[in-house]
Amino acid sequence: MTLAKKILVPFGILIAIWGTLSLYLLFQFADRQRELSRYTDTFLEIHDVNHELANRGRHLETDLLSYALTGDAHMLPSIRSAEAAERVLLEQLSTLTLAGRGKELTEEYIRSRDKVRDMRVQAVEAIRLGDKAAAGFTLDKWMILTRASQAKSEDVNKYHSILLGQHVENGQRLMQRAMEVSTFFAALCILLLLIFSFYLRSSLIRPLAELTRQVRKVTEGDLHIFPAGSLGTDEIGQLTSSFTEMTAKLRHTYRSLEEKAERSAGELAVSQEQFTRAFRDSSLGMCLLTPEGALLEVNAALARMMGYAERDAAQVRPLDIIHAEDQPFIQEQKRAMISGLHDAIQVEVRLLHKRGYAFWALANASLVRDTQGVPLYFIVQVQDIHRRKVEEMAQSEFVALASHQLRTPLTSVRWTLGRALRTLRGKVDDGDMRLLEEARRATVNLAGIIDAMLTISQIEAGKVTVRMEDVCVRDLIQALREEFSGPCKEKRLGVRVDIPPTLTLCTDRRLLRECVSNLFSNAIKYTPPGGSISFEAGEKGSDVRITVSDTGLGIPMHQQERVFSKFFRGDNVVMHEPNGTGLGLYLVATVVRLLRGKATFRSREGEGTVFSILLPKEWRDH
Amino acid sequence: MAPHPFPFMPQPYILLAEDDLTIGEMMRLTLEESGYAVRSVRDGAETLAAVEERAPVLLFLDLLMPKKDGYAVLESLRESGHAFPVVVLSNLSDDRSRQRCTALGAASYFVKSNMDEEALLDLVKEYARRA
Repeated sequence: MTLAKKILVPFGILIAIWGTLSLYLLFQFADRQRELSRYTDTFLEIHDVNHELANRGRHLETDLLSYALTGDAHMLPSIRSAEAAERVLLEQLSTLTLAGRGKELTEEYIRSRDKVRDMRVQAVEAIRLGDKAAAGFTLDKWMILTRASQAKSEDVNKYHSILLGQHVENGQRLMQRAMEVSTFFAALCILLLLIFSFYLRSSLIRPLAELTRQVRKVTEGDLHIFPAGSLGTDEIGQLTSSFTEMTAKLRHTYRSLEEKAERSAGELAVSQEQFTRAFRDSSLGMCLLTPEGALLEVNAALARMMGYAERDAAQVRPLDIIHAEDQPFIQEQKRAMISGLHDAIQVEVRLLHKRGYAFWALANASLVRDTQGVPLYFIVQVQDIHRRKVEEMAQSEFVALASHQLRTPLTSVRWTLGRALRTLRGKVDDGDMRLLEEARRATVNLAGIIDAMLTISQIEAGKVTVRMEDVCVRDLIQALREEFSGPCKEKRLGVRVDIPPTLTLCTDRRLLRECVSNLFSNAIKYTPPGGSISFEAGEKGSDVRITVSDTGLGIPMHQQERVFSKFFRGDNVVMHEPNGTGLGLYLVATVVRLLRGKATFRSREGEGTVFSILLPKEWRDH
Repeated sequence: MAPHPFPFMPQPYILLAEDDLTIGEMMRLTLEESGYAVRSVRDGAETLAAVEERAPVLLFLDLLMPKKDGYAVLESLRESGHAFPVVVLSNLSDDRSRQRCTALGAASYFVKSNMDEEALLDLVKEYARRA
């Protein structure tokens, strides 16, 4: 049964009862009222008639008495008419009388009036006949009967007014009864309402309260709810049973999720354990740093490397153990990684051992971010490369020194020859002059070879570490132009630089300079006097392209594939410029490879050459 | 004799700091023949003494010298301050040397074996123009 029925049916019953009772009472009342008004009308009529009769009676008395006194026969018609009227009235009265005692009394009264009339007639007769004795006698009797009749008239009136009073009283009593009944009914209704409310309570309010209680339990997190009592089949019952079902399902889901989470946590714990062990037991020094540079974790290997006991290592401030000279560079690298320029770096850096000395270390650092890209921490792996570095540096120093030692006498020879060529001009024959000139050129060549070999040996030994920085291309090339201004002027070569001043790329400055310098010196070497060299640079996608073009001798087609090989020199240039190293372009190729770029060229013999190097704008780790 | 480019300064001279005899001699001859007053010194201490005595208008400075090397000279000059340009002429070509000299205030840096002695004259003219 639905809620609607549950509520409407009792309600309907209540209304029906009330309606019926009300109508019944109404009809009853209406009936009684009608009766009462009927009675009242009758009573009023009777009263009027009686009153009229009394009036007539009094007139008749007066008339008779005056006739008796005067003996005037002119009184007789009025007496007669009065008597006629009396008769009519008495007839009327008799029709009006109602059953019961009233009728009795009225008939008695009528009879008494008749008797009075009779006596009156006799008296009139006596008076008319002049029988004073009989007149007197009949008049007395008539007087007595009149008084008796009056009394009877009063009885009738009294009786009828009593009756009326009784009816009115009845009416009042009826109303009182009606009020009692309605009061009773009101009480009944209240009782029924109370019953109804009890009924509602069990049928509606309690189930709702129960449901609310369960919902609150679930809201607080307790999914263990069970229906209290039996559920009805109405909407609330359905709601409650659905809710209970839903909660049961939720409970199961929750439980299975908990199990899954436990499992995952277990798996995670295992993998975390593996990672932690890998970190802790690694023979490679490792540490975790916050993005601000504070130490999160440090493993035993690194602590040992730095000369600290493992428990002390955690207190060390990373910045304190980096050599002062290397700190700015490291800070820059850190900033570059946080800003997203590099994901990972490899640097050689000097660290300070606990005992106070510095040693060279190779540090690989990468930045770990969360899913939103926010930096979480740096993972840094450190290797002690001090011995290797020292050896390298010794080796480099040797090479540098050796180069220097080679260069010093070379400078002497070159400058001496240069000077000799000036001072001996005109004093020595052309043949000798030419030889001197050749000799001078050979020294230039030799200088170039020393330079090239120095650089190549460093690169090939892997001793050249790339130090990235933002390089302004135009500035670099302008500096080179100034450096080579002498040779350019000597050969009257026009140099043009067509590079936007804002063009920058992230690369190793000196290596880039070395590259472009080689291309420049090649261009100078292989361009006949009066020619021109131009530099251009621009962005090409995510790369920067730098081109060096000349109006020089060019490279023969059939030899173009060997251009970048060691000690290659084109057949055509050997004639014109016997003093080439053959190493310059090899150097360019090696350096460009180191800088993760590409070197290409276009050339036509006798017209000129265009060398291009393409370098990534940002340093990316592949 | 070419007119020297510093006509309004009292006896301006170029200071040459070079320990190698031949090279030093070469430089001196080249410059003097073009009309410049030149003074040659052979080590770092002499260089600083000469500067203190009377500041040159230009200093060509070698790096590897006895007593005090070119770096020490540069450091000292930077400390005491100098109005004249210092051009480093060395046979070290490595980047570190170059950077270090630049950081210490050298106006420019050249590798001797990579230039002709005439380039000296161009340099002098260049710095005279800038002065």
